[in-house]
Amino acid sequence: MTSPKSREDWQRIKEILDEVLDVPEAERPARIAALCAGEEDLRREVESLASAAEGWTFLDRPDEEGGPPRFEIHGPPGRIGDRVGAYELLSELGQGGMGMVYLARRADDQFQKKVAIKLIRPGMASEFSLQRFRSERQISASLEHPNIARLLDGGATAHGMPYFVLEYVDGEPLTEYCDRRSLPIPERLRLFLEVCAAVMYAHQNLVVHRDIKPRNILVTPEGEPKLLDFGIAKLLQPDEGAEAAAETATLFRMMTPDYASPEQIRGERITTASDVYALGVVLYELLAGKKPYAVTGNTPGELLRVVCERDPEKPSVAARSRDQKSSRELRGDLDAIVGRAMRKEPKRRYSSVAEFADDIRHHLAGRPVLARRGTLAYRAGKFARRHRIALAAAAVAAIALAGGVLATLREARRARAAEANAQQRYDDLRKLASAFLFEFDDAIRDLPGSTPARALVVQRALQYLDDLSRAPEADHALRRELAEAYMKVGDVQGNSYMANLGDVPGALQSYSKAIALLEPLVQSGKADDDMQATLSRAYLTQGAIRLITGDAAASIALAEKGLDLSRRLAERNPGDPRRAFALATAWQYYAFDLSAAGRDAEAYEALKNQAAILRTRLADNPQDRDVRRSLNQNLYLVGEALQDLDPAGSQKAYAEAVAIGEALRVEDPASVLLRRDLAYLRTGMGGFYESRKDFAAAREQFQHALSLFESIAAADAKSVDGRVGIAISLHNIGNSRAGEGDSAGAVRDFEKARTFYEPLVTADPSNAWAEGALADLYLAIGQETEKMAKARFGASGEGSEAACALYSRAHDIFERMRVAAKLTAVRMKPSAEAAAAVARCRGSLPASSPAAR
Amino acid sequence: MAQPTEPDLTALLKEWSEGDRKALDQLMPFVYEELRKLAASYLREERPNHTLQPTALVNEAYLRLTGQKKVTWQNRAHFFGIAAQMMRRILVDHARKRQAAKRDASAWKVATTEVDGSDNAPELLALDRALEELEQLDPQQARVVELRFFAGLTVEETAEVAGISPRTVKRDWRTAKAWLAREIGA
Repeated sequence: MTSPKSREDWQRIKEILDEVLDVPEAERPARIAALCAGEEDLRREVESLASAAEGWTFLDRPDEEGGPPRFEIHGPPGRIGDRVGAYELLSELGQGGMGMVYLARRADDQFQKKVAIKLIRPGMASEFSLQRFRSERQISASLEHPNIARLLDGGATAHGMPYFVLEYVDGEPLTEYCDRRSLPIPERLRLFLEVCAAVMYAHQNLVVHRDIKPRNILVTPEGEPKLLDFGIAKLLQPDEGAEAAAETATLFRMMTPDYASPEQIRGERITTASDVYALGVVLYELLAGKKPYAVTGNTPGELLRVVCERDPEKPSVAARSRDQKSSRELRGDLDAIVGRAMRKEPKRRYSSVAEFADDIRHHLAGRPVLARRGTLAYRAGKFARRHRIALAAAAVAAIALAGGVLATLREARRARAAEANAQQRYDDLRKLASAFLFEFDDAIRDLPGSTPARALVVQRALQYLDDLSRAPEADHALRRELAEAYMKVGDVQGNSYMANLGDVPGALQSYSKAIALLEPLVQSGKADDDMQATLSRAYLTQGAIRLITGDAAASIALAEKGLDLSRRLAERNPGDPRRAFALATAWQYYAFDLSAAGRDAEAYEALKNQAAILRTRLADNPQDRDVRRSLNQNLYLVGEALQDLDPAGSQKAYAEAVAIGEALRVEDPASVLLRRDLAYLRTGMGGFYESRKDFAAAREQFQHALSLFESIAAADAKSVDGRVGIAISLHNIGNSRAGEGDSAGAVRDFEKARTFYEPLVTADPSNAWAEGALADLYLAIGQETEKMAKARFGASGEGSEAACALYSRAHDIFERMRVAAKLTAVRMKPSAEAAAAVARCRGSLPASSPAAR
Repeated sequence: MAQPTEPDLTALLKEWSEGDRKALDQLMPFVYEELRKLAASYLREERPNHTLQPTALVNEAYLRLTGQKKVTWQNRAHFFGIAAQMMRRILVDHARKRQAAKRDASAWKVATTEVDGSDNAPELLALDRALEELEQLDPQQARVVELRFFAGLTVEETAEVAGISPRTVKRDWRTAKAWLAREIGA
């Protein structure tokens, strides 16, 4: 590569280059030869520049000649007349998510058969996806079906851009085709069924389309729909972890947001169910005449909110503005069918495209439709614990889908008291509240990754419940259901024992509302057993939340109230396992609160009571998971309580707990809850070893806990528990190193822990536990820092300024907590240590030093 | 350098919009400050999908300062012409810092998300270097690139600011791109 040596040289080269670039690529060599006659160096220079001009850089912007350029990395367009493989580009057909699509033909083809070529923009294709693309080509090429546009060929251009060659389909997008001919609904459905057949065929061949949308479904003039663009189709294979996630994230940036399924947006696994969803959206558009979501932005936050959390209008409602007749036709069966295909949770949709198509056929034949039958069965079945439920921001809309109750209620309210039948309104209210409870089933707590959706739900839910509780018809039964609903919302808000958002004050408020609804009735003796059971639970949980905010005394008082109620219930109903189990749980809460207050012996007694009940139950039902889980927690608490009282007993309890915990986890590996239990357990064991000064063994347990917490945090980035656990584990690991005398190592771990603690405290200042833990940490870092200074500088006190600064910080936090009466028993000792350390610092440092304020 | 105070700014803008090019010179410190602040806040947000558009920043700075008053397109072009140079400096400085920071990042710190694929720092620095080389060969051409790329001027506007014909602008831009593509790609 020679560079022009002088300005004059360059001016000449510029002029020649300019002329050469005016000429089509094919003719350039000749032109160059002519203009550079005889001058070899010049010719080579111009040639190299001319070919560089055909490349592309971030300076290029293909559409606007003369317009401003943009700093963006994108691929060059193919130009008309360019050769791509064995083909010649004829014209542009349109812009796809991955690149431009051209009309082309074989350069040597006498028959001039037309094909479509899709050029993939280089920035889009990582090495990983290029490999994937090559293997997919082989798969997709094998798809032969009258309603699928065949993939004919593929390759990469000289510039390294991958391309697909597809059968060219001359047709209109499905929605346009139907609209232009004003096709009636049955006709649209029949066309749609043909599309379903194509997708079914692909699924049978283990190919998921992943990008179904009307633009990818062209209908030929003969009325045949053809499915295009299996270009990002994927083999049904377990995901390869991080790579797959990154790739999906890249694809996410490219895909059409209007048709993307919730799992696609969240970057989760794409399966045939995702195609069902997309087909559902297409059907929606075909029937309703518009798209289900109005997505205005392209930011992940917006997409998440709209597609993953909001339910669209029913097709019949959406069509109302267009024409009344269609709207009536759509109500009922078709609404339900579309709704089922578009469920947020993949498992709740049709289990296959075949099932989807069948339901449409049933409707056309006037037979009962699965989509409607299934919902009723679901509502009736109380053992829906394993069902994963789709949470909509307006959870109420989900209920509406199940029974149209909301519509009734709204109308009832608008039509003033006079007309509406009071009884009817009351019935509606009850149905609503109980349906609401259903939708908030316990099963959601087990869902990793579902937390972002819940934030918005909580808001709406509370608004709704507040409305309901003001309703004059609210009687006992309704009040209990409302109380339960408030409690469930409170759980989502901030009960620290479940995946949560960390809104502790909100949780307290919700629980207070629940208690306020029930307490008066229970106290006046008007409450039935169920209501008392609910109130007992409310007391216990409220107590647990108060403990997090640092009020141990209040927590114990509440636990005692709850325990009292549960005990009386169990006594009145001796054979009832529900009441027995509830009592066992009450003992556990009580034990936990006592333990936090330092009353270990009493805690142990409470735990014994709990264990007795659990083991009785287990004798009859050895497989009962809930009981085993409770026993697991019980043994963990026993281990904690006995650490000083009976070390051998403590170790035995831990060991048994771990055994149960591991067994449970094997049976249900996805469960975040079980992972958490086990992580706490490991932590407890680590503490046990620590107290025996067996630091290596302690660290081993803490490392187990750390990886468990890391997996929890990974499963649900919004949840606080994972990060709290990581912070604690790192803190503990640091402690174990400190115990071994490895101060430098300890400080390293502590500093890591710090990066996790500090954001937690900033995000939720009411969380006394986190504050205290942070103070503890500062103290620990201070102590180890001081040791290191002593090791280096001896007893001179030199180098201890850093330590003193940390002691000050710790002391400040502890003092603040003490004044606000938030210091729990377990923080007493560190608080005293911090105070003493600060005093020492003030004594040994000159007055001008900042640490000696 | 003393910053013009608020009333002065308005007067200067008025003078400039009425054709007084010298007033623009006096406005420049303000412009620079504005650009720098905008660039800093824009570049601070490291979103994935983040495409860096210097022209957007210059536009915004322009609007903020002039408050969308009616200014002739020629005056606007001159404003942008000066802003282009500033923009280049600001971006290159930022890119240098980013390159340095990447080498420093300690492993265990919670890293800010590395914006994969759209981290423009290397390209920007390469462009700057190549432009400097081009300046040695043909200062006018380098200026054309600067105006088009960093200020996003159209062919007409570039011609106006550089005082050359649109035809020359087109030629210079096209051939410069070829040269830069080769230099940067190498």
